[in-house]
Amino acid sequence: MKRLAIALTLPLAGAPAAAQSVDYGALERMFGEPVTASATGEPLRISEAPVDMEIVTQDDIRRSGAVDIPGALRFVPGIDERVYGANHTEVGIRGYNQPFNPRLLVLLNGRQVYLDDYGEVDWKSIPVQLSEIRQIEVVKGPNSALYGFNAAYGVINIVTYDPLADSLGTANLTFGMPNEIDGSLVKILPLGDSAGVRISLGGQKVRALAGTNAYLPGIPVVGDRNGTAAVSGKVQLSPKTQLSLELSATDSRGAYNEGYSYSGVFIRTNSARVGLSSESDIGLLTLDAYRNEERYSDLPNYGALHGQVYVLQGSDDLILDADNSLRVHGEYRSDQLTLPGGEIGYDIYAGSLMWNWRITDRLSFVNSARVDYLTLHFDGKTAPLSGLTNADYANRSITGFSFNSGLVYSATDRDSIRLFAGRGLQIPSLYDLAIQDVFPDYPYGPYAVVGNPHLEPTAVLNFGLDYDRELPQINSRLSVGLFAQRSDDLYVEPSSAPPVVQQVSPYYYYYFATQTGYGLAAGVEAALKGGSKSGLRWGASYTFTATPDHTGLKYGDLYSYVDFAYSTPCHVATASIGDSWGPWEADLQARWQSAYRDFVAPDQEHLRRYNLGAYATVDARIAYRLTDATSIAFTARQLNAASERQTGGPNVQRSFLLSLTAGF
Amino acid sequence: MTARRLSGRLGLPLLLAAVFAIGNARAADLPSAGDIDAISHTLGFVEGMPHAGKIRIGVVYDGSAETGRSDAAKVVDAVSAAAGPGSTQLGAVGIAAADIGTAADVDALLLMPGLKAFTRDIVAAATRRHLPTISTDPQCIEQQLCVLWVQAEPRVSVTLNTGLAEALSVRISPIFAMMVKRK
Repeated sequence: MKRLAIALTLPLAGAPAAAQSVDYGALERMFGEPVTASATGEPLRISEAPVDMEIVTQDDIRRSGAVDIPGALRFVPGIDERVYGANHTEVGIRGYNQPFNPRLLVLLNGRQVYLDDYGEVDWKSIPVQLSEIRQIEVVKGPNSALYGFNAAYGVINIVTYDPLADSLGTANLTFGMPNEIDGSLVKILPLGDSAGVRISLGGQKVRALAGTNAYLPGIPVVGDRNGTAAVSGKVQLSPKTQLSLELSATDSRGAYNEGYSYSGVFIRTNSARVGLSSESDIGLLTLDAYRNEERYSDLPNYGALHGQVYVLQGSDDLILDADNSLRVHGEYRSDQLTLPGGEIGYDIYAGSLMWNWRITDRLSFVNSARVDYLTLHFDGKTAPLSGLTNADYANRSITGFSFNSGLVYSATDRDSIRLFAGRGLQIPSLYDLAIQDVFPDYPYGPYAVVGNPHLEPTAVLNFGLDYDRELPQINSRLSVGLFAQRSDDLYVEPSSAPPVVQQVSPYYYYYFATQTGYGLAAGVEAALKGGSKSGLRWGASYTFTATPDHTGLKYGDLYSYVDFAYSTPCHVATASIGDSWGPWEADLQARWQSAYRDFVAPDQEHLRRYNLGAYATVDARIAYRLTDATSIAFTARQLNAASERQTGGPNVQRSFLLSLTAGF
Repeated sequence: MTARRLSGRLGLPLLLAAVFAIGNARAADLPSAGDIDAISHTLGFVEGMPHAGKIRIGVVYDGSAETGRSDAAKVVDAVSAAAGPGSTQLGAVGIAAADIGTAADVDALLLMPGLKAFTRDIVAAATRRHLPTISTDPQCIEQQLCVLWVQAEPRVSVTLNTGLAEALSVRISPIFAMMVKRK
């Protein structure tokens, strides 16, 4: 037997599928390809999804040798990563990446783990271990018609193994050289035939990045580390009804690039979730409610920002006839954030409709539309001389319309063409809307950082054309895609906006969150991926992205740390090759990207443009199966360079990882 | 008209005719190992199937056909060797279509090609016991014989006859029903 069977991380099939939730494993075994519900809300084979999507499987994750989710995404075409710190990586899709990137919505089994405070994703605060991830679904382009605000540029949904349908037990211990340790434990416990619980624990202590440059005067040393715990259960209440429960908590700290400077950032989160799904005469009804809580600080007291999100959503999936199905969705959402100056929050009421029309056996047309209505509320004191009053908040509401349309044509059994269009909305973060931070005694002169309740959401209009072809002669699949995108009403957060000098004594420098114009993006992606039955596998991709903008921001004038036009590498290429033989498994992955621009802060008053040259990264992993239940793996990250400048932050160093995994 | 020009003119129709003939021959073929694997997975989405132990499949054939019994015996052997959905196993027994009214107790019927003449008997038996009827014969959906038409090559394809499923009181997972072709 040539193929390496990692039984310890490969979940076993459980009972035949429960009827009310997507059994990804059973459906994937059925159709011979991954299944996703992240495209339209309905389960679809990846080849039939009416969006531009990549799926990173558990096999891909394991073979990458990654110890965190950004590491597992690094070689995905269309993904742009910046490693700012051992605990701080920013992930962007098709450009517009930046420190604390607000333009990527990330979900864990459909629950938002995107943080609404600054509008960011802290990857170390996601309560999931890599070994419990079934697949990571990456939607490139807007998908607001399904997910609402913030799904404007891309969505990543992390799907874990199901506590009812899957069986899994794995423990992992990884030692990094030098000074890195990572451990995780995941177990699914069946409770009779109709219930199951998944328990997940993990922790990581990582070595801070080294090699600061002249523009980074002081990166705080806070001992980068993180830990997560989660428990998730599912009960089959009756043959037609299923109940799910989830609890999680996370704690992470590290040196983070906050845009204008590095800070020691401390984040704690917790969540509680309950879901109910039931078959009925009027379709498959789903009810989902959750609460997220977050405490963020750049001091070790976890409380400077305190955010809470409550979400209640319900949907009905209905098969109308042989050719048509419908999904009706309603949502209520309440966001609150306590920050300097007061408490900001909003309520959102949303409704959406998805219609899947199978025109012929080879042609389907999917349309989704959604309306979000947001009302803002603010309880606090607006900054003096800002011109804002509480009435500016009390009277503020936003109505947003978004849509997604996709035409999928299976021209032959080997060729498929997808044409899609979408409009997504990016809402300003709570911080951008409401921060009222005044520094009257600042040595360089008093100043204030002020949010702007009148900001409009960025509207992203996207068009795409994809062509996929199976190449059985070389056991591969070729994908070529084109996209064009326009972002209207771009905005920048207060600390990245040009100052407004008030000619009133004392002279305050006011930094207002500001609308900045529009941006364009267009590009092409080509990827080839394949493998032989003997275990050999290969892949290659090339991405070209151009992001001209028309913002009016004076980049590099010491104020703005975003530069939409130059912040995206135009050219990115990846290549991978791997093989499995007997107990061995070996993989090599490489990525090259062209130059781009970042920013550095030599002090708290100034920002400097920082042009990064092209660079390459090569990762290698080799694993050996000791027994059916244990394996050992050795991973070299950034094998090609001992130290490499990838961002305006500190260099990224080469590292080696030794990993022991046991199944039980 | 030269022979070469004639063959050039007739080439495409002849080729299409040949492909059509191969297609029909394929349609009448016995279920492949891939087909049986796909059928096994499909059963995991039919409500009422056993969650453990053995799922019993009745392989229905035309006993009056020349190779009906022997073909069915091959399929029974192949099905009996296959794993079922989840932790189940498949078991199979051959059933002559003429005897289906008195056949042994099974959980599903796998229909061999060429059973149109027995439609009434098969549907009556399936209705009485709420049995899903499955086939790899593309004709079966149009003939109102099978609830599920399953095809593994060139890519897995499942077609669900929603009307017949309702008539037989066979319930399919709604999530699965959303993902397959429906007639």
